[in-house]
Amino acid sequence: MTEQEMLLIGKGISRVFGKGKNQQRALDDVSVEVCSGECLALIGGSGSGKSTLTRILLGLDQPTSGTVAFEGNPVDGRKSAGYQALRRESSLVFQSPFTSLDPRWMVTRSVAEPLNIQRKRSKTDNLDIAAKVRESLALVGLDPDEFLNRYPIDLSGGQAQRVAIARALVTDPKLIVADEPMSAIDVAARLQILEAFAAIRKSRPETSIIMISHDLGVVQHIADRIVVLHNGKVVESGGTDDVLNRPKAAYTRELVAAASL
Amino acid sequence: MRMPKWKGKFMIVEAKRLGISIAGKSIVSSVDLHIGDGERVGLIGSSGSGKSMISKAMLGLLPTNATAEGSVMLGDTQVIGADETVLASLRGRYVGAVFQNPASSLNPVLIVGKQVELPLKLHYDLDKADRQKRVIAMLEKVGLDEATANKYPSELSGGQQQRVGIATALITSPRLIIADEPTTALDSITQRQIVDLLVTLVDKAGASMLFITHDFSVLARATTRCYVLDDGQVIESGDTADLLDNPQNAQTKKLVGAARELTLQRKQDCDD
Amino acid sequence: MTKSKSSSKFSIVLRLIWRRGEGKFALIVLASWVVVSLVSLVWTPQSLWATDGYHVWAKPSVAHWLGTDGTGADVFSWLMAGARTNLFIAILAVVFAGALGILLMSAMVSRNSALSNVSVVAVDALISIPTVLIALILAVPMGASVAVVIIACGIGYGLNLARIARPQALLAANSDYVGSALSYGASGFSVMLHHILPNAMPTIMVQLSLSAGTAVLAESGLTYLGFGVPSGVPSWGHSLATSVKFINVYPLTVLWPGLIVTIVVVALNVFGDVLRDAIDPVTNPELRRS
Repeated sequence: MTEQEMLLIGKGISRVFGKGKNQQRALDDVSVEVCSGECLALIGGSGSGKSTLTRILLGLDQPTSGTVAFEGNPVDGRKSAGYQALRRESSLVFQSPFTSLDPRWMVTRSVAEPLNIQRKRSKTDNLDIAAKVRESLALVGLDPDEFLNRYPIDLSGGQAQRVAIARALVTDPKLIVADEPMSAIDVAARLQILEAFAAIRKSRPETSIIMISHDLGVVQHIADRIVVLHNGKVVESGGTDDVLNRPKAAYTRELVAAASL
Repeated sequence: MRMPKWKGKFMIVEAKRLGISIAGKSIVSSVDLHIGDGERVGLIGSSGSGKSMISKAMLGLLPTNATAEGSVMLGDTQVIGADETVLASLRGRYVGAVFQNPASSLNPVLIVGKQVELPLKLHYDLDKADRQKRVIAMLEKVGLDEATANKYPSELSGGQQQRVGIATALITSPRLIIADEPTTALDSITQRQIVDLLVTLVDKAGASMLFITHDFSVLARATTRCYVLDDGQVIESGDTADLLDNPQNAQTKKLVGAARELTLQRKQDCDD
Repeated sequence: MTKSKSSSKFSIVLRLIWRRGEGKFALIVLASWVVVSLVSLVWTPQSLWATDGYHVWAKPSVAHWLGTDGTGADVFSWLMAGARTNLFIAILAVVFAGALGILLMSAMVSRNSALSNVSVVAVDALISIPTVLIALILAVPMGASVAVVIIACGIGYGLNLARIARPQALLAANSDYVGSALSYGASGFSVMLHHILPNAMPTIMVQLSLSAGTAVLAESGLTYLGFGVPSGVPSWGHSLATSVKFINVYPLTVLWPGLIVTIVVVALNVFGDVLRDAIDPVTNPELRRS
């Protein structure tokens, strides 16, 4: 695959926090790329640097060294073309739906928010926001008539997280980044989240997904490729089948053991 | 008033028709539960099923607007409606608790050593040197070195914090450990280490354990027998391994199915 | 359509306040306050200026329902007329405090770290100045006036509001829903208006309601000290100030304004709490169902 077909490329990314003696290297020469329409799983425990890497890939934090490019355009500060495109073409799903949905907003308003923000900025769009909101909710398996006028407090964890996914979908983004979308959710409800992502992959095959997790079990059915981060370094990367069945790094073996019964 | 006292090490937990309601709304109804001496029993259910309320009732820590009915016997002590002095002498001494979120269950301004020492101070009449010796020994048992005793919780990782939580719960050699989702806030590798640590320590001490979780794969590792809770009621119970192999109830099937779906299915031939 | 929707929401909120005992009390007291203030503009039982040297400190009678004061003027009429001055002061002080408080709160949780740091330090420093001192300073150029009370209360309560609402606002500002909105390119102003302010609103409502009560108390205090409402302008503070010297001889004339101030302040304190519970969809399930 050539660089042009890559949606997002991070090259040689390092990130150092603090100064002098308290220096901490969160990321050390990490390179990742995401192709159009693929689902990449970013795996690592707490402190592995996966959250820092995500922020950098989305242009929300600057690497100490290394570069990020989105659709071939460099992501380098708020003015850069890559950054602007990322804001337009990427969406985030957070770990806990109860802190990522405004408790005082109805579902319909929350899901419509990205479109309302973008319409205000571009001032050209006259698309039917209400229809778009219904379509997104239906795609993640929530009946719009039942859920449009609910508040987050009246939703279960699985339902609330699917609302958050519907919000991420509503702009038809090229990239969806999900930061541990299942770790704050009940095991039984995790399957609903997985099904929602599977539905997105099916109906929007051109959409890329970065799924961040600490658990190989939750990404095995959804990821095409897996990148394993440990102590700020990529210790293993490859096709899902390869990584799960023929793990090379010692850390990956530990992860495999932890996700097996 | 009878203070709880046990000769020997015997402690059987028996809940009969336990019901809990909060502000008039029924959360748990008519739950029967038995934990034999030295047994590791699981309580599994999705969030809102009332499993945490049962553990709180056993510890006498229900919120003030909650009412409990029925009976919970810890050994020969009735916990429901018991006097606070009775409950206080039970907690920490005969019943130890490990909580879900170590970051909030540990006191952030107390160094680890003092934290672990506290139950000893409250329940035993030991001199300082003796207490300190036991604290260091306990920390070693949970896999933390002596230097950790002088650290604050914020200087530790999530897994280390939970090890401190376990040390605090176990230092008085309680007869019953109540672990309420002790691994939910941790990453998958640490989860496994913490579950294995708890099981080893509880078995070594000959204590019994009530392990609360929403995850069957964790439950399978931690317990031998379990109760499945749904909407405040026990819908199925039995041997954990049997339940996993052959769940009967629809809700249990869903939980087991989810656990299976999220467990790695690796190809047989490339097992290492 | 939007109008009928908002009016039905209003009636739900009103019904919810009314359902609670303390809500009934607060609503009755506050509604009476407004009605009496309006009526006093066109009618009082006796003229405020009908002084009568022969009937000073008179006991309650048919002509003078609560008796007369040291000038022989009707106490009831003066209290009625005082209601409108206090209402005017309370409303304007709250509006001023609300505007200042929300502005400062927004600055304190701003993503511009220079602005937030400066405003936090500024609020912490200014909050140590007592409201009385602010009034005293203002009274130097302005003299005793209603404006002194309003501005002093507005500044004092605005600073307090900013500090008390800040934790709630900060929680919202650091939340993932704000992070999400920003990631789509929402402006800081829009996030403040649509996410942070609504989530801080319950706290703000309670605080402003308390401030309205405190403004009534402050009017009495400042007027008594001589930099509040000037003599000749009816207010509860004025009624108190002119009779308090004679408390040993004619205690009743102090009792009436004192009682009214107490009832109104309690009603305002209670009102904030019931209003917060009623207008917040998170605590009020009925609002969510509509």
